[in-house]
Amino acid sequence: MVETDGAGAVVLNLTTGWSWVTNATLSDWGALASVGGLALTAVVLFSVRRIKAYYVVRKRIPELAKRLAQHSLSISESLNDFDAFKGQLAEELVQAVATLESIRNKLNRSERKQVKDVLAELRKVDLKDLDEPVVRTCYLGFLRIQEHLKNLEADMAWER
Amino acid sequence: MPAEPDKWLRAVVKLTDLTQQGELDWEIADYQSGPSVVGPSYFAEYKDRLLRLEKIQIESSDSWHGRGETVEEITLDFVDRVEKTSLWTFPSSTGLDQLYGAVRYRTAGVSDFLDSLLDDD
Repeated sequence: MVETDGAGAVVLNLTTGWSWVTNATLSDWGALASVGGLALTAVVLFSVRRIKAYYVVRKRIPELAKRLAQHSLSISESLNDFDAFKGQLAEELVQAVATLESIRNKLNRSERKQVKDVLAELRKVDLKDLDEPVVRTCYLGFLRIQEHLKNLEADMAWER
Repeated sequence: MPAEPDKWLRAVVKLTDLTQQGELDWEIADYQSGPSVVGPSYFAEYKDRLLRLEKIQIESSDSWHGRGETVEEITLDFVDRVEKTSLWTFPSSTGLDQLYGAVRYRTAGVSDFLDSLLDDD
């Protein structure tokens, strides 16, 4: 039914295809139905994953984005007097890692990079001896992720 | 233009850093630029530009907040030195709230107050 020509191109041979249809046994039809069923299952699985991803972004991501905004606000307030609020900063950064990990797990692979980069920066932070420029870099990363999530939610609103 | 929003964000974060590190001084204006302004207006001079930072109340037009709802927004403008009118407004950016917070903290003298309070012990 499907053959390759001399140049290696795949061609559809209709005559052979029709002869398969007329000569196919019940077992052949069963095999074909199984393959079709498998393909249909894959399509349904893919659609369900898309629907799940859509609802996660619509419902869960805004909640996590709000929590991340709260972390950013606390970090920014602590940066008003870095030496005085070092302890609070360390606590906030630990909580922010948990929020970011949750966000990362809910995003598509293609949208995770920004979150992964900030998490990598955060893992380098020495919580017992905080370095102000490093904390400021992480803070900028948080704001970038907030912007990204805001855009993502706006895009999703147009999808359905 | 994916780089542009990030450029504004970095600019706002840099202004916040400069403010928090005491390298950019803000002053409270003795007037408000419009009826929608909530609280004081703040002015600072940086690289020969006069900057104005304000909190305003507007009616929301996006689904993020809910249409018609009154929301507070922070605006950052270049302003004319004589007329004190806006020459250009920075695009809305995530970090503006924190810049406003940092400016309030500096101009209110919270840090000096805490130091002097704790020195009394």
